[in-house]
Amino acid sequence: MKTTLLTIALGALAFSAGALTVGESVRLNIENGAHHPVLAPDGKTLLFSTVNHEGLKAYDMATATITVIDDSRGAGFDPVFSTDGSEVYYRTAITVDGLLNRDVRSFSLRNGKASKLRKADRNDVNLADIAGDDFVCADYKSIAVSRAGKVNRISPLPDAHSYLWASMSPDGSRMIFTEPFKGVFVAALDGSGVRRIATKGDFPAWAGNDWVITVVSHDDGYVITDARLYAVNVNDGTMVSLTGEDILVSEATASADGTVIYTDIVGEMYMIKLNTAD
Amino acid sequence: MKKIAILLLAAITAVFASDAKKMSELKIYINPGHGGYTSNDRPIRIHPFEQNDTNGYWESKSNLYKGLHMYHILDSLGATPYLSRIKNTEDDDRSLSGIAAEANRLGVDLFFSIHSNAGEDVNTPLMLYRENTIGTPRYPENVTLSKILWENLYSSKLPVWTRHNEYVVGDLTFYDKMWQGGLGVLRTLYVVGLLSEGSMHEHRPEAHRLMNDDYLWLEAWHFVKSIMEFYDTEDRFVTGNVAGVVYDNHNKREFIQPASFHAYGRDTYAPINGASVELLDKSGKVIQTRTTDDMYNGIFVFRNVAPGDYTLRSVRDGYYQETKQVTVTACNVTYQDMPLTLKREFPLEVTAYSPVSGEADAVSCASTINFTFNTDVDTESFEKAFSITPAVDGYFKYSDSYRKASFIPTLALELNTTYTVKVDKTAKHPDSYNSNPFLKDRLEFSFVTKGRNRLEMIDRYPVDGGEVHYVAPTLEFRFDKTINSVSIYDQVSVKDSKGKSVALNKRSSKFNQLSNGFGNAVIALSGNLSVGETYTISLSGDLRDRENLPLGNDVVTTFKASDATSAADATVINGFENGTVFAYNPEATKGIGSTLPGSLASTSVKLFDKASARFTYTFAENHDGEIVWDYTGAPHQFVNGDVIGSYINGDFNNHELWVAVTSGTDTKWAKLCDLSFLGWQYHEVKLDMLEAGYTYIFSGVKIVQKSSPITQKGAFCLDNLSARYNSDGICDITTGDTDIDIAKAGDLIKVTTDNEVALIEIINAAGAVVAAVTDTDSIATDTLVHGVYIVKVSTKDGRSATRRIVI
Repeated sequence: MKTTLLTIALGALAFSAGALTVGESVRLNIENGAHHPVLAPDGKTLLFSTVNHEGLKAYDMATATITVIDDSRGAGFDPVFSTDGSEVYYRTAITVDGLLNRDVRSFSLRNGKASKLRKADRNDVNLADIAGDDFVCADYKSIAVSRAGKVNRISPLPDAHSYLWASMSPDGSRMIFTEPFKGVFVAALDGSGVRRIATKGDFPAWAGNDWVITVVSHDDGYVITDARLYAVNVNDGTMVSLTGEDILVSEATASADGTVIYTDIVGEMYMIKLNTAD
Repeated sequence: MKKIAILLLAAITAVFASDAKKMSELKIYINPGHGGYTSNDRPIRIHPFEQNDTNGYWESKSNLYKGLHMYHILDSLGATPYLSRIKNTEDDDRSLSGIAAEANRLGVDLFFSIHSNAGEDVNTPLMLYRENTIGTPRYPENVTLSKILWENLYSSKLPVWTRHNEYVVGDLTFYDKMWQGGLGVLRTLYVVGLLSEGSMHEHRPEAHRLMNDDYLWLEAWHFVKSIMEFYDTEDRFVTGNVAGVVYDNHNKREFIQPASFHAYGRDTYAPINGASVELLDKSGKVIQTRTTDDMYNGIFVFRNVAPGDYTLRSVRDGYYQETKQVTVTACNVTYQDMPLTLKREFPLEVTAYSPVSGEADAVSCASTINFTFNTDVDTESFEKAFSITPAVDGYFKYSDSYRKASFIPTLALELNTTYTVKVDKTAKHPDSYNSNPFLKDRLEFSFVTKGRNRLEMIDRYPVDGGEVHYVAPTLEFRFDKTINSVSIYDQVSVKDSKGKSVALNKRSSKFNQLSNGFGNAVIALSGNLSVGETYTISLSGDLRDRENLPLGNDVVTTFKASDATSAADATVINGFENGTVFAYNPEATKGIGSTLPGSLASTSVKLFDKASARFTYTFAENHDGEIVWDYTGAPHQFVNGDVIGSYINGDFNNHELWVAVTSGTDTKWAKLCDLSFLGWQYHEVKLDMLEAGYTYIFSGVKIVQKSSPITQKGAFCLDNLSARYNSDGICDITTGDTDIDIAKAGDLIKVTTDNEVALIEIINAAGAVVAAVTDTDSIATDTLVHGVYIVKVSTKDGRSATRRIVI
């Protein structure tokens, strides 16, 4: 497997790498301490929370306005958009006698209506299953792939420890996922043709049908000592560094139109536009 | 009423029901910290492994084994555990964000990160929990769990702890000013969690323990017990454990392994590898057996023992068997160490001793009296059996696991004295099972000491009652021998009159800079002293030379801080601000060493403005040397009775500093001072040896070697060369008409005559007219430089007179 690593200092200017054009990194005017970004599939809405997942807020990418969806504990962990991006599904967390209980809630970005869909309990619920028919999501030891209401559980790597951050490509033809000890992989939706595209990578997300972004971090076992954002071509494994060593990237998300959002370790949010067209 | 009672009962039941948690309800995420075998995985070199040997100690490995044990204990109790890794290979290093994300995604009740800590000379558990901001825990449950876990880990009696109060800290507080963002694995976690630093793996005895699987299991058992207590679960451990350490009850660690590390308490004794430990029930039946491993920890743990009374029995080849009674209770650990006695089936013998000498080969007064035995000696009986005549104050020191003993005089032995040492047969080894452990043969020997038993201080600056320039001063003591400066900062102190300590500048302090075997201590002080304040510098009598002979008595020197810059009331004629104005004169110099003399402008050692003139020199040994530097700067004139002076930075080498003035071929030298001081002082000399009526020019300096074996190498500085001029100023040599009186009146020269003055001229020593007036009886001199001039007066009636005048 050929993996090409292009280390490109970002600077303030846009640049191109092959079919990829990288725009300028722009800091979003969002209050300091914003974490856990999740972009809508169409890139129009950005969900975010605090470092503690306290509360859930929506940032309108066109108007730069912020809507508070919920201020409950845990609401900011892994919210899911409906396929058309108009609804947000999320869970809040409470501890009952020290045990974690979670409910299911929804919020309409169209009319602001909030709904409680399920009482808090200790059962595991797949929000993607509620949000739409077609999805790919990691479920620890397997990956759940749903097409037209039919869910298959697959394990593309026979000796995988677990799976993280699995998602479907915008055109619905492929998936990416992270195996924590082996790296970032791309595969067909049935798990065939699995191919590693990066030896390490957290928060991989599709930024088009041919490019994904991912955060590659290093640590000393206690603290993160280096963390950068990369764009990776899923076809040939080309890696393009989107950030320099001057910033410790924390988390990242992307949408099919090439919008990339990332946070740094203190909770500043930045946006980069990728042009992935040929 | 009945309805209310029923509702109340229901409410109480609900409370109890909600409290009644079972281990089987819990989902626990276990994160054995680190992963693999890189520098980030914390290898610690322990005997007998080489550094980075994967068979030796790695934190990544012990963390994993603790995690695996915790997983299996939780699993056996019906809980749902998850592990972030299950192996420890090069590929097992995963991202911290990914670990937290996985625990979040699994929706676990508890996140448990397992580590141990760095810290070589200490050993303590440390619990770290996530904070939102410094001082604000993310969840109060994090703190509660951390405190429970700290208490449980600290309760273990297998380690030797060096800290005895709770050590529970938030991660942002702990890493404040060290690293941004706190603990990476807790940062994005939203479930309750902590990071346990179970003990200090850099502490070598602890690293040896962390190589023992039973030890790791017991730490994992404490993890789970803490979880039971945190959740107040219905189900607790119904069995208990028995744990302890098998060790030699007298021999030290160095008996079995290289042990140049800090150890405390029981850890100082030799753990016994390969010892058998059996647990017997009341009927004498062996329930469990353990053999201590070969990792120098002596640990045994009997796991999951039914409550009841038991007997522990331990033995190893070469040791006597020991038994102890223990009682096991549920959900507890019963600790019982097994110290064993080494078999010594022979009497004690002294195999070597020292010193032994006659008058012809007398020994140093710093000698210690040393013994080597055929086995470890019982200290109490040996010290009672030992005697030395004449009596000497001293103490005993043991090494090589009591196989060597020394009696160390508190100060030193008396000089030129014959000592007799005896060891009676009551000395013994510590084998209490042996019927004859006593010294086989009574020992007696003698030695004679040499004629020197003290380090002698031969000079010091300042002297008692002296003064020191207040700016970052340097003080010095000189000794007849080079000193042992290892503990010098425990033996020197400087205090002001109120007893407040003055900090020493250790970087600038120097020791043993002298030649020919002499020693010194140059003590630099940090910062400036207060002018007018009185200080004392105290030197302990326990300061020793390299032969280990002591100073004997404390030396206390009192001195006053002064401002050297206020010393002179003179005209500055050269501040030496613009580069060097001296040149070494080899023809006038004699008796120099291998290094040529130097002079330069020093900007680091100066008293005024930007620079001083610095001179470096090296004399040949025991020569009557003189080193001359010629002055090459602007001329400065002196006449008889003038005073020349300078601020001088001395080097305390006691050589003489001279200055020269020259008129034509006549050079006069004047001794300015002895360089018997350190730092800045002002010194001046009156030039009353100059020929009256002649002008002399400052022409150089020289240093004259004093007969001293201490040091021939040094440096001194001059700043602000100054002059005070003879105010008298008029020579009485007058020629010409005696009726014409020429006199100095302040800045004027006045002429008195019975006729009108036609011309007054002032002519310098070179014959040039430097000032002239006509038709007046006075002429101003305030623009003229100091020197000797001829004043020539002509009157209108044709008479004239001249007079030599000093201005």
